[in-house]
Amino acid sequence: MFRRLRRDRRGISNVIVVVLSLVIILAIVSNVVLWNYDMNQVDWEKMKENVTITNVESVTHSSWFTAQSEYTVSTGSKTDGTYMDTKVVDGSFESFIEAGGGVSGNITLINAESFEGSWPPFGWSETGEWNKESDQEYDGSYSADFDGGSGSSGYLTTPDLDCSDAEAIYLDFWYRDDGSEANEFVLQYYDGNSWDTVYDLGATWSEHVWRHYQEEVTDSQYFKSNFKIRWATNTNYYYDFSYDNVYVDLVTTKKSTTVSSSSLELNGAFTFDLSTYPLEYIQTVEVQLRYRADDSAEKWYFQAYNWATSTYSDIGFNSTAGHTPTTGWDYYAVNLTNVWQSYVNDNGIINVKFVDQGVDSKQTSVDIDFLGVRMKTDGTQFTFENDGGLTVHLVSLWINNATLHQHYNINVFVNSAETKTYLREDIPLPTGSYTVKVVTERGNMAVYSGS
Amino acid sequence: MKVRKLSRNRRGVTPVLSSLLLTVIAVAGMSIAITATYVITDQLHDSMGERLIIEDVWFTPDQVSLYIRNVGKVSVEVVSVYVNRTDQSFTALELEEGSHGWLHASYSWSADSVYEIKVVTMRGTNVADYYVSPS
Repeated sequence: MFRRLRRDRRGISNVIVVVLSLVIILAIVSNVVLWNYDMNQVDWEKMKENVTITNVESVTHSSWFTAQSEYTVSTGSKTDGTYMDTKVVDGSFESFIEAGGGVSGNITLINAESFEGSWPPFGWSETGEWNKESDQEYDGSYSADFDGGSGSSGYLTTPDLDCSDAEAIYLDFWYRDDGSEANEFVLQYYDGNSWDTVYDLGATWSEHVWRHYQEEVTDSQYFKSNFKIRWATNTNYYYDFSYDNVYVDLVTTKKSTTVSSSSLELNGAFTFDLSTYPLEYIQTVEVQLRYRADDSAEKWYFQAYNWATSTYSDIGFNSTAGHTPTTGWDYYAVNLTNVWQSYVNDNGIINVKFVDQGVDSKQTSVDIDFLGVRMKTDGTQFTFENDGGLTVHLVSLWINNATLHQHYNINVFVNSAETKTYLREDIPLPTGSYTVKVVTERGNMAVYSGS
Repeated sequence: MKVRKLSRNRRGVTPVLSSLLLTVIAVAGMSIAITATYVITDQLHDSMGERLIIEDVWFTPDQVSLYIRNVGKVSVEVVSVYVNRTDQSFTALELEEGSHGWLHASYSWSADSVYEIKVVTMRGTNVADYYVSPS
C-alpha cells in the first residue's frame, strides 16, 4: 500500500487533506460539545439549588460579653468562686467581702453629680427656674441651670445627707455666675432647724467663667442626720445689665468619720467581638449586674475606665445615683449613653469597676451571679436555610420597601441541609412592610416578606 | 555544483517552484481554515456561556431601574431593553463575569400595572419577565 502511495503522490495529498479536515471538524465539535457540557453543568447546579429565608428580625442588642479573666480586687478580697461563675445568671456565683478596718476615712455622700441623668437627680429637689440644661456645662453635657429674670427665685436642694457621725463635711462643686449680683445667688446649709447662708456666690467677680468652690465644714451644728445643702437664687434682671443665669455642676460631698470602716472595689475587663459588632454601628453600651449584698444601707456604683482621661468615671452614664441593694438578688444596670466611645477603646475593650459608696462601719459581703456588658445596636439578623444538595454562595442581599430598594453585597456560604444565621449590624430594618431578597452566585433568589 | 547544474538544466527549476507554490497555498489554506474554526467556535462558545439575571426591578418616577447580575462565563453587554415590546432608551451597561449593576431605562409607567420587561444582550441572549408597578 505504501509503495502504491509512494508512486501515487496525489493519493498522499488527498489523505492529508482529509485528515486535516477531520482534525478541524473534531476541534470544532469537541470545543462546542465540551463547552456545552460545561454550561449544562452550570444550569444543572443552578436547578439543584434550593435556598430559603426562614426568618428576618431586628437585633437591638448584642449578646452579653463577660469577663475573660479573674476580676482585680483592689480593695476587699475574694472569698469564694471564680469569674467563670459570673458569666451567666444561674445558681453559681463569686463572692467578695469588703476590706474591714477601724481607721478614719471619707464616705462619699454625693458622688460627682453632674446632672447628666434624669432631672432632678434622685433625692434632689428644686423650685423656681432651676433645670437641667446644656447651654453651659463644666462636666459632661449638662449642668444645673437657673434662668434668672425679674423677680425670679428658686432653690436647688440636695437630698438629706446623714452627717450625724461626721467629723468634717467636705463640699466640692463648680459654679458659674452669668450676671447675678450680691445676695442673688447664695449657698446655704441646713442645720436641722433652719437654713444658714454660708457664702454669697453672686457677689464674686470674674463672672461668665466656671469657679471652683471647696469647703471643709467643721462646725458641729451641721453634723445632723438631715443635713443638706441648697443653692438659693433670687434674681432681679431689670436692674442689671445682663441676664442673671447661674449654673452649678459636678457636686461632690463627703464626710470623714473615725468609725470602723469597710470598702470593696473590683475591676473587670470585657472585650467586645468587633468582627461581629463593629464599633461604628454601636449606639451605646450597657452594663448589667446580678448581685446580692448583705447591707441595704450602702449603695453600689458602676464606673468605667475613660481611655481619654485615663481615669475611672461614671460621667455621662444614664444614672450615677448608684444602686441600693435589698439583701436579696438584685439587678443593677447602667447605660453609657452617647459617651460610650470614651469608655471603649479601638480594640473593643471596656474596663468596668464595681465599687461601694465608701467606707462604712459594716463589712459587707457581696455575691456576684452575673456581670456583663453588651452593645445596643440597630441591626438585622437573617436566617437562611439550604434545602438543596449543593452548598450555596449568597452574594447579594436586598431590603426593599415602598420607598427604597437597598442593595448590599454579601459573602455567605450555606452548606447543604444547613441553616445559617447572618447578622448585619449596619442594616436596620425599615418600618412598615418590607421584602428581603437574597441572590446566589448561580443566580437563584429567595424572598422573605415581613413588616 | 548543484546551482551550476540547475543553471544549465532550466527544466529542473519548474518542479521546485511548483512545490514551493503548493506549500504556500496549503499553509495559507490551513491558516484560513484554522482562523475560521477559531472565530466560529469562539462565537458559539460566548453565546452559550452567557447567563444573566434581573435581581431587582425598581419603579421610580419616569424610570424603571433594573439591577442585573452576570452569572455566566463571559462578559455581557446589554444592547436593548424592551418594556411591553417597545424599545426604551437606557444607560449603557457592560458587565464582566460575576459583576452586577443598575441599568436605568427611561419609561413613564402607570401605577399598579403589569409590564413585560425584556433585556437583550449583544450576542442575542434575552431575559424577560413580568413585573407589577407599585400602586
